[in-house]
Amino acid sequence: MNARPRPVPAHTPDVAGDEPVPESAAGAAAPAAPPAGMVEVHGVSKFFGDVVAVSDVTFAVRAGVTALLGPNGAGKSTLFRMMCGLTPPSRGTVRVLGADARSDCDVRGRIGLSPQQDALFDRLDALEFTAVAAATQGVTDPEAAARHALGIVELDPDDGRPVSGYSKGMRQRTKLAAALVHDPEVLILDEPLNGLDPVQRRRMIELLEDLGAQGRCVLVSSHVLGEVARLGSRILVIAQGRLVASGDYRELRELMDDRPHRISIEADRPRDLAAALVTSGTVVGVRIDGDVVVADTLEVDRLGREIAPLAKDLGARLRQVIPLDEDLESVFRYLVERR
Amino acid sequence: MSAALDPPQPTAQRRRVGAVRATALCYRVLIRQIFSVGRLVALGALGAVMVVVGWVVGNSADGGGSANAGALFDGASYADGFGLIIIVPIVSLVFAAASLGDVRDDGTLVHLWLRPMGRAPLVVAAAAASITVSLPLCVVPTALGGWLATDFVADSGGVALGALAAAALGTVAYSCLFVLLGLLFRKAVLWGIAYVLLWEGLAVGLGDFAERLSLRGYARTLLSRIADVDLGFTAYGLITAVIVLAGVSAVSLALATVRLGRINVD
Repeated sequence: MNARPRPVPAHTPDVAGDEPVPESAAGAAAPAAPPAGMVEVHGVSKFFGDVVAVSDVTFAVRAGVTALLGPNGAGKSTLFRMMCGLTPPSRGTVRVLGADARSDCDVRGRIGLSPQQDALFDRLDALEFTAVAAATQGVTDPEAAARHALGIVELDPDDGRPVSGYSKGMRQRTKLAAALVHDPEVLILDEPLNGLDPVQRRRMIELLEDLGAQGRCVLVSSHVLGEVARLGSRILVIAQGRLVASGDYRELRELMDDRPHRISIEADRPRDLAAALVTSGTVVGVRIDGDVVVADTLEVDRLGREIAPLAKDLGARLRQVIPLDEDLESVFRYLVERR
Repeated sequence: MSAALDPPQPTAQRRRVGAVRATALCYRVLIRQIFSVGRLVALGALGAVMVVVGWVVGNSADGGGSANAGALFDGASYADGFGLIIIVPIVSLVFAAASLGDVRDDGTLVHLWLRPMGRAPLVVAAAAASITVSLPLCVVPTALGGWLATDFVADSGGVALGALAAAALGTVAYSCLFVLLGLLFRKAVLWGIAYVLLWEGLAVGLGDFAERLSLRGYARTLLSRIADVDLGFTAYGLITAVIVLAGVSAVSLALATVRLGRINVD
C-alpha cells in the first residue's frame, strides 16, 4: 500500500465533541491537559509483564453511543477494565465523570458495566441477580428496579430458573439488566451483542441508541464491524493496543482519501460505459462483471456528477450505482492492516 | 427492548451503600456461592469419621477411677490431634479460600467489586459466610469426638467445652487467614494445604517457639486450659490465646481489605 502516516496521533480524538483538543507534541515530556468528557483517557498504557496491552491511548467521550472497535486482543477489554477501575493503568490517567473508579467509591455507583466474560452468580435467578445488583448499587427498592430492568431487556422476572440454565443470549441480557438497574450515567458494555439472535441484536442496538439519546455515555466494544456500522455510532478503532483512528465511519473512510474508491455501476451497456469512463479520466481502473462495471476512482464526487451524462450520451441505462468499500470492513482493514 | 428509563439522576441523589447493609448483601450472595452439596458431604464425612473413631477410642479405654485422668488426656489429645490439626484448618480452608478466591477466579467478583461501597464489608461478609458454613462442620465433630473419646468419665464435660471453644475460635481465625490467602494466591487451597500440613502439622513439633507462631498452638492452649489437661504447650494463658486468635483474625481481615483494593479484577 502506501506509507501514509497513521491518522490518529495528530490530535487528541474527542469523539463526541465538535472540536478536537490539541495534544502536546509527540514525545514531549509534559502531557497536555486531559480533554473534557464523561470518560477521559489520557496517555494511558497498560503492561502485563513484557506484554503491552494498551499503548499511550488518549481520547475523551461525551454523551451518546461510542463504539470501541478492534480485533480480539486489541486491548478493548483492558481499556474498559481501566475505566471501571478494575485494573490500574501502568501509565497515564483514566477518569470517569471526573473521578478514578478504582479509588472513588461514589463514582462506581454511576457506572454500569456489562463485562465480556460470561460469569454470573449461577445459583441465583435473573430477578435475584438483578436485585442484588440494584441493592449493592444503593437502589431503594431493588426488586422493583430489577423487574423494571428485566422488562427493558425483555426477560421474564418471574422465570425462577437459576441463570445457569439460561442461554447465552439470556445471560447477556441479564448482565445488561444488572448494568442498567441503577440508572447509571455511564454504561460500559463489553461485546454486548455476543450471543444474541438477529432480532435481539436489532432491539439491543435500538435500546443503546435510546440510552445514548437520553444523555448517557454508552461505550460499546465489538470486534464485529457490521454491528458497529448498525449502531451508527462514533467509533474508536483500537489495534495492537493503540488508538489508530476515531470518528464516524464516513470520517474514517475519508482517511483513506489516497486510496481509490470502488464503485459498482450496473448498466445495460457495460463495455461501452467502461470505455467511456476510462476515456473521461474519472476512473483509474475498471473491471466488467456481467452487467456490472466495477470502477476504481480517486474522484468519487466527479464520477458521481459525470456518470449520468456519460450514460445518457451512450444511450445506456443506469440501473444501480453503489459504493463497494464504504463498509467498515474496508475501513478497518485499511487502518489496521494497511491493505 | 425499550429504554423506559428516566434520564440519569444528578449525583446528589445517588446513595452510597452503608457498611452494615453492604456486608449483609455480600454475605447473602457469598454464602450461596461457597455452599455446595459436594463440599458438605465430603467434609461432613470427615467429621463423621472423627466422631466414630472417638466413640471407638472411648469404648476401648480402661475403666476405673485411676484411669480418669488418662481418659481426659486421651479425649483432649484426640480433639487436638484430629479436630484442631485436621478438621478445623481443612474445613476452614475449603470454604474461606473459596469465598473470595472462587469469585475472583470465575469472574463474578466484578459484580460485587464495582459498587459504591467499601472493600471491608465484602471481606467481612466473605469471612462471615465461611465461618457460618465451617463452624458446625468443625465444632460438632471436634467437641463430640473429644467427649466420646473420654468415655464419659467425670469432668469429661470440660474436654467437650474446651474442644468446642478451641474449634470455634480456631475456625474463626483460620477462616479469616484463609480469606486473605484466597486473595493472595490463585491456587489458594493448594497453598493452604501446604501451610496446614507443613507448618501447623509438622513445624510446630519443633518446639515451643515454633508453636507460638502457629494458630494450632493457641487453639490447643484454649482446649488445654478449659479442659484442665496438660497437652504440653503451656507458654500462654487462656486470655492470651483468645487475644492472639482474635488478633490474627482482625489483622487478616485488614490485610485482605487492603489486598482487595489493589488486586486486578477480571
